[in-house]
Order: sequence, then C-alpha cells, then structure tokens
Amino acid sequence: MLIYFSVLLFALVAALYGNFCVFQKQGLIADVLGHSVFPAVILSILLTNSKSYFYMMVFSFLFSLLAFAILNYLKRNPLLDKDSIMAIILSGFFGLGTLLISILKRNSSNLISGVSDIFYGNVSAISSYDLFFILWFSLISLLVYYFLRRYLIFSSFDSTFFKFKFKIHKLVDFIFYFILTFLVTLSINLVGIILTSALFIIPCLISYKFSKNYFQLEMISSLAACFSCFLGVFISSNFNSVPTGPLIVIILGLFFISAHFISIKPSKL
Amino acid sequence: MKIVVSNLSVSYQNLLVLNQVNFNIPINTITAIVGPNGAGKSTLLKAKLGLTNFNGNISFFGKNLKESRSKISFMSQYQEVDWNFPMTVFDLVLMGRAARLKFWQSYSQEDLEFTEKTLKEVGMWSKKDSLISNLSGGQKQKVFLARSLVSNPDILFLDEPLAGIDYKSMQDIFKILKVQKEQGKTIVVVHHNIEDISKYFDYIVVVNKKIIDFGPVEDVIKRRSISKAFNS
Amino acid sequence: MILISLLLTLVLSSLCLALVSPTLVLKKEAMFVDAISHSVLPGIVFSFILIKSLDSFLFDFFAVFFSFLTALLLKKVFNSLKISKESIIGLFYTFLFSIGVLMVVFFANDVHLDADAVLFGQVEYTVFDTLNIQILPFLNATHLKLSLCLLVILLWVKFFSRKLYYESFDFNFATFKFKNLKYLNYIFYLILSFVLIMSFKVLGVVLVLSLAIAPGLNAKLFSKNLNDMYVYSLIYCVLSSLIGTFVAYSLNISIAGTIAFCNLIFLLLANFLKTNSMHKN
Repeated sequence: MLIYFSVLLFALVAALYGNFCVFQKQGLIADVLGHSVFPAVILSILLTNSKSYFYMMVFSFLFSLLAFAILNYLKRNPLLDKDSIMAIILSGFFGLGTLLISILKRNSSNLISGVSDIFYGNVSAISSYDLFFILWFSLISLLVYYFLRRYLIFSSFDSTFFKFKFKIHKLVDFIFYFILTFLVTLSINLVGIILTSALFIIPCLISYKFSKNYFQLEMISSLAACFSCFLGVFISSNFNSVPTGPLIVIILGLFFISAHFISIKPSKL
Repeated sequence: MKIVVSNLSVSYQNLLVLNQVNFNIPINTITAIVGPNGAGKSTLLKAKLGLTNFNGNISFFGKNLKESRSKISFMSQYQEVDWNFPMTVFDLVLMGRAARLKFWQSYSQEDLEFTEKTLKEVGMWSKKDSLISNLSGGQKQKVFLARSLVSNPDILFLDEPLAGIDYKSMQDIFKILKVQKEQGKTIVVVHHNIEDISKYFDYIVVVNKKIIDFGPVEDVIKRRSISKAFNS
Repeated sequence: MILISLLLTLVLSSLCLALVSPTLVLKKEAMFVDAISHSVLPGIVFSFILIKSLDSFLFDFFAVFFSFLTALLLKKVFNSLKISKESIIGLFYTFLFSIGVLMVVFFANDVHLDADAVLFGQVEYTVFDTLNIQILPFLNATHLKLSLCLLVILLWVKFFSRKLYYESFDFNFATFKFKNLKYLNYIFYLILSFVLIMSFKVLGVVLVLSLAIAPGLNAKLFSKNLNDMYVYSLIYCVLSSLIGTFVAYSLNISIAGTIAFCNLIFLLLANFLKTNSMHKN
C-alpha cells in the first residue's frame, strides 16, 4: 500500500516539475541527468563495496550536478550548440559507466546482479528504505513547488522580463534544477535511466491541448502521470519479467495518442 | 512590366496571417514593404519566394516563380542564419553562385572572379579570409548583400537587411542598392523602420495582415496610410 | 591477429561515423541521432523475428529499412509540434524504445539479442563472425560491409555534402536556390541509417552516438570551411580511437566505454584551448 502511495506522490511531483521542463524547452535535460547517474551508481558500488541506497543517491546527485555544470560550461562557447553538447555529455557519462561496469565484472561479480534494474526500472526491487526516501522527498518537493510556482510560471512564459524584474531568478533556477536533479535520480527506480525524460515530459504533452489555464494543466498532467504509474506498477509487480519503466512509458504514450486524436475531432474553437 | 501579387492569402495552423493581398511593384524601383511587427511582411516575402504555402497568384514581369527563379536572389533575415558557422567571407559570397552547379561540378574561374568583384563592390574584400563569426553586424549584412548580388539577378528581395546595424553601414548599403538600381535591377526590401522612407525608397507597400496601401512613396505618405497601419 | 581484426573493425566504423559527423553537427541533429538510436529498437527486433539471424545481409537490409522509416517519421513529428520540438522527440523515442524492450522480453529473450548487448555492443564479438569466403586471415563479413559503407559515404561527401552544408547555414536561401534539397536529405538519412545499423552491432548505441558527434564538434572549433571540418574529423577520429583503445587495453576495461568517455574529456580540453586562444586574440 505504501508503495502505491509513494509512487503516486512521486508521479505527481514529477509531472509538475516536468511541465516546466517542457515550457522552458529543456525537455531532454532529464535524459542527460538520467544517463549521468549510471556511472554514479556503479562507482558507489565499487567504492563502498555495497549496494547501499544512500550512497547511490549521494553519488547520483553529485554526478548529475557535475553533468549539469559541464553542460553550462560548454554552452558558453557560441560555437558549440546545446544539442551536440548534450549528446557528448550523455554518451561520455554513459561510457564511463560502461567502463566502470567492466571493472566491476572483473572484481566482484556478485554485485553485478540487479544492475539492469537501473536501466529499465524495477518496482519490485525498491526496498522500504527507498520508499521512505521517495515519499519524504516528494513531499518536500511539493512544498517547495507551492512557493516556486508563481516564479516558475512567470519565468517560463516570459523569461526576459522575468530576468529583468526579479533579482532572485538565479535562485529560483538553482532550486528548480537542484530539485529536478534529485527527482531524476529517484525516478531511476521507477523508469530506469534511459526513459527518465518520458516521465517528466509526456504528462505535459498529454494535457496542454486540453488545458485552458495553468491549474488545469497541472491537474491533467498529474492525473495522467499518476494513473500511468499506478497501472505500470500494478502490472509489473504481478508479472515479474516485465520491467516497469517501458510499461509506464507505453501507457503514457497511449494516453498521448488518444489525447491527440480526441483533440483533432472537435471543431476549431 | 511589374511584379504582380493577386489574392494572396497565407495561413499557419488555422491562423490567417495574410488576407487577400493585392498589389504590384514596377520594374526598376527600390520598394519598401513596411508594417508593424507581426504584420506579415516577412511572410509576404517568403510567399513570393515560394518558401511558404499560399493561396493566390504571383507573377514576376509576366512569368511565374519557376521560370524566373534564376533571375531572382534574396537576402535572409539576420536571425534565421547560424553565424557561428565554419565559413569564410569569401565562401559565403561564393555560395551565391552555387545554384548553377550540378552536383559533380566545382566552382569555375568565372565564379571566383565574380565573387572577388562583388566583394570589392561592397568593400569587404580585405576580410575575404575571415571567419564570418568574427564580423561586426554591419559587415555581416554587407557580406550577406554581396551573396545576393553575386549571381547577377534582375530582382533582389531583402528581408530586413538593416536591422541592428550602425548608421554608416546603413548608408553604405543604400549606396550599393542605388548603384544596383541604376544597373537596371528591381529591389524589394522588407524594412522595419519608417523614418526617412522617402529618402531611400521610390515605392512602398504598407501591410498589416492585409494591404493598407501601395504606390509611389510621396502619394502613400500624403494619404497618411503608414500611420494608419501602425495605429490600427 | 585478433587484435588486428578488432582494430580494423573499430577503425572502419569510426571512420564511417566521422564522415557523417560534420553534417550531423552542422545540422544540429545530435539528439536526433540519439532519438533514432533508441527508436530503431522495435525495427531491429522485428527484423530479427523475421530473419532469425543477426548476421545475414537480409537482416541488415530490413534493419536499415526500418531505421530509415523511423528517421523520416521522427523528422516529420519533429516539425509538427509547435510547443517544444525536443519534447515531442523525447516522447517518440522513449515510447518506441519501450515497445522495443517489451518486444525483446516477450519474443527474443533466449537469443543473444539481449538488452545489454543492444546498449553496449560488443566490439570483441565481431571477431568471431566470419564470411564463407575469406580474403585474408583476419578479414570477415563485417569488414566488408563497413568498407562498402565507407565507400558510399566518401562518394556522398565528395558530391552531396556541400549543399547540406549550405542548407544548415541558411535554410531559406538554400531552399530557394537549390532544387531537390529534400531528396538530398532523404539520401543522407538513408546513408545515416546504414552507418548507424552497421555500427550499432559493432559499437553499441552509446559509443555510436559519441563517435557520430564528437569528431564534427571538435572539428567545428577549429575549422574555417567544410574541407577543414572533414580533415579535422578524420584526424580526431583516428587519434581518439587509437588513444581510447590503447588505454582500454592497458587497463583491461571496456573499449567502447573508454572511447566514449575520452571523447567527453577531449571536448572539454579542446573547448578550454579554444576559449583561451580566443581571449588572447
């Protein structure tokens, strides 16, 4: 029961923060952050010689921040476009992970099992310690969201004015990406590293055509995310061979397709 | 002999951007297309060049776009181009001669000579080996203009060539355009500024989602059409 | 002997990728390649289910065909949504990739087309894939396919890369002046699909992305024209592959991972050098 509650709360928060990712045209940043977590997990296993969840989170967070810092450093060069930079960072970090796995395979092959869980997510592998963590962090993120909301809406739709008017925009940005990094790290449990961006951007894409104001957008995207995660977790926990991540993403995708067709039918408003 | 636009309509995703536009531009003039932001000036230009879908009819001195394409050249809007590209000034202008090449051909001696000549005409020959990312705003527009001139077209379309450049460069560019006009060319400029219109242009088309007015500059100014367009 | 064969495969693949890299970087389609590499999984699994073998030419044919279709579909989808183009690509490729993973779980779990291999590739394994006719002791079918690929790409670079270079610089001008630009793009995507499929089997998805972008990106920092881009890309590719392989072999770690990681390091280095020299000017 606790599983479902934590997962649903997490889905809600992911959708809310994800909406802003889409509007700020940072849709694939979750992807980059997610891929950068892979070497972090392996490194934490190597260094601490255990699969302690706590250390994995710490390393994951640090690596995500590192990836983000590198992205911003390279973006300052006008010759390098964001697209290409993201691709190199993505593959570079993932390559580091691959490299570390080959070391892990050599040294301590008993710890290798379950690593594939981080690729596609496996809800059955989440321990109650992890769940506790997810639950509390989602609550905190939700609280922060309540305060950040106004500024984030402003900044997404008129960023030049926002930067001009509000001196704290740098702080808002920082907090947003700080929390997003954590959320991405946590989402690995559910959807795995490859599919992280899906959980953040698809709910927004599903709902934006139906929403007449921002609150409606939040409602519909949260509902879509929660429902998909619920169904995905339900099916995955009952059929163990099916990884959770792809399941959730397919359900989200089907939602999008049906939403898309529904919105084409009605006459032009 | 005129460039004739009749019943032109353009819509993007159910939004009508240009509505039943009708006007004509006589040969051998420097014409300005003006209007407030969002009026559809660039869209009008792109429709004429076949870069966007439209309903209606456009003819260039009696011929359609397909037949006149080789005699037309154009200068894109500054922001729609990647200035951080690995390209030298000379190569950029040379690009203007690429239309005639088949895929197995490389540039001829004539192409190189024409490029040199045009670069000298706009006063950018000394920078021919510079990277385009190292140029100032005015220099970029001059090189851009050179590219549209190097193919020796009869009609020139320029999309906001004077946006964001210094006064001296602007004067230089108008001087070059005047010379081109004296050589018999027809020049159409989407212009963002309504000051000094009569100083630089002979003809004007005023647009704001539909045609407000068009004709020789003095007549249009007398009819106060420009202020009408900007205030509506 | 095995080492030479290995190196040859690696060098051929990376040369192919290095030659499409300038176009990809200039067109800013890096994440597009990432999207394609994830989206083709259903196509590859489907081809596998049809042909039942990973090594036959027929499998390659179908895989390339599906990859090409996916690329075209992706491009169409990319242009359709106004709100946030990269988000719609994110949706598209994660959706297709998920379908692919489930297809693997349900239909192909027993064969060595498992998810890990899809991601990492195994440069080492291709040494054991042999053609019936062997020209030289250490050449095999993969080498032949890659050489054919390389030849096609060289021809394309010579004759068709220039127009796409112009198109990436100024889309409106190029579309106006050049006929058949659309078909040139289709040809490029076909060649890209061919290169990607050939390289996925050898290098794995992640390294392919790295090698498809890094040469062009590093070249862009130092190039003044298109020829420079190609020359620097080739030099970069050879250097980085050799250094990466050497490091990996000495430390006995994954070759693919090392090269991908080194590409990131090299980019940071190159950027550092370039920004310093820009400040000096």
